[in-house]
Amino acid sequence: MRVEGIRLSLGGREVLRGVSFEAADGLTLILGPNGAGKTTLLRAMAGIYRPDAGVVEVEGPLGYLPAEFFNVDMRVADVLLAGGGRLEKYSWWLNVVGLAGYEERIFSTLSTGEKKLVLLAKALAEGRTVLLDEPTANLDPAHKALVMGLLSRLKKVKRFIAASHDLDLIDVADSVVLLRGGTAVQLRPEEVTDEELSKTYGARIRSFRLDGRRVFALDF
Amino acid sequence: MDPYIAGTSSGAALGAVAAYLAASALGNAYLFFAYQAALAFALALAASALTVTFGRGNIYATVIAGVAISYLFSALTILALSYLARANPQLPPITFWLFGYLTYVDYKYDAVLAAAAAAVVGLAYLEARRIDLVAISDEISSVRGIRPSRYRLAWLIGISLATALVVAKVGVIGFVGFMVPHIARILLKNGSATALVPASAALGALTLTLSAAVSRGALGFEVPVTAITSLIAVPVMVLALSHARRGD
Repeated sequence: MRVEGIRLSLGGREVLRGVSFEAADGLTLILGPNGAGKTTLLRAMAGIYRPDAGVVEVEGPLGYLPAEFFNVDMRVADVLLAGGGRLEKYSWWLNVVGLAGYEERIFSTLSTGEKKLVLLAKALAEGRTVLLDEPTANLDPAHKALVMGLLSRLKKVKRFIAASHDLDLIDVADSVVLLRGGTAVQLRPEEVTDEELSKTYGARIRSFRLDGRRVFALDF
Repeated sequence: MDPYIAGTSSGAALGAVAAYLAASALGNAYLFFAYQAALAFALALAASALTVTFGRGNIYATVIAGVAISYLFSALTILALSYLARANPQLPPITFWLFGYLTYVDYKYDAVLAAAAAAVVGLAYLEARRIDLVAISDEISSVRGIRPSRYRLAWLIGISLATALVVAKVGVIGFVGFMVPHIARILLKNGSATALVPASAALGALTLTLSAAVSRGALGFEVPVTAITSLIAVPVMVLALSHARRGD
């Protein structure tokens, strides 16, 4: 899976000005400030936006966990089956994300975390490569831990490309793409120093090691 | 989206009246029968397109745009009909075009309408899973091979065509397309098109038949169907709104 020299304008503004990176197996994490073009980049990979220039090489089938979705009043089974498919396959993935037996529940009545997990199960069932837009946003600590655990285990069988503001995901990533000023820098996770992050976000970010995990602190 | 609220019906009505206008101006009745449905379709499509354009994907903006477009096309219809009524007193009255009358339907046109309805309902049922997906997320639709904007446009054209065929013959019947899916949604407790399409088709036919029966005799004199469907629609709307506010 490869993105080469993508240029893309939205509403007269060139959001992506020659972005290149390679998504090998495992989890590729796209970081960058608000408006840097993370979602735009994922949408370009999904084929929603046609880039003005550059190449997107996709190894499908693709799954997609959107950051925003409609709060539909359908059964969870109908949400999973939307677009077509067999329920047994989806139920298997519903089990994996910890929502066994949720098929008859109404999607709009679920909690934010549960809705996200339902759509994650759908994306996992549909894609060998899964695009994740803000997979840990708006989740409580227990749900966030669940999603991070799932991603770190499932990245051996799926290829993940995640766009996020959540620096904790660096610990789960195999490769990190920093988006700044419309271009991208691809680094290994251990190369993503506090200086790189501070430069990317324009804020002073420091991190510490705690039990092998990286913990972030923001100066304000 | 109900064609009545989106302005589609009003556009179709103006198109049908415009066909009258053209036929009477050219003194050619054949022209009228040939082009009535086509003109109704063209203006129904124009009205829906205007509503969707002004709505820009925002549900509130779309509803407001739909109301404005409905009134605009209704006003133009009234103007055209007032002008026509002076020259041709034998035309159906204005109330027919604005509020719907089932009386003028004959079996030949019934067959056309039945075929159109069967096509729309059948296609919607076959496409139900894809309609659901487009309702959930543009991104997921896209990776599953559906272009959401094109898909919505295709349905807009299809629904405008079906609406034009109906309105050209029976005038504008309000609120059935809005109210019936809502009743179905509340009864079934499920907003999936797989459930709503067959339920709405059955319930819609029942509602219109009952409304037509009431409009023709129950009051001792004949009234336009829209008066009855609107009377039923208001409590349903209130129910739907309170349902939405509870968040379930």
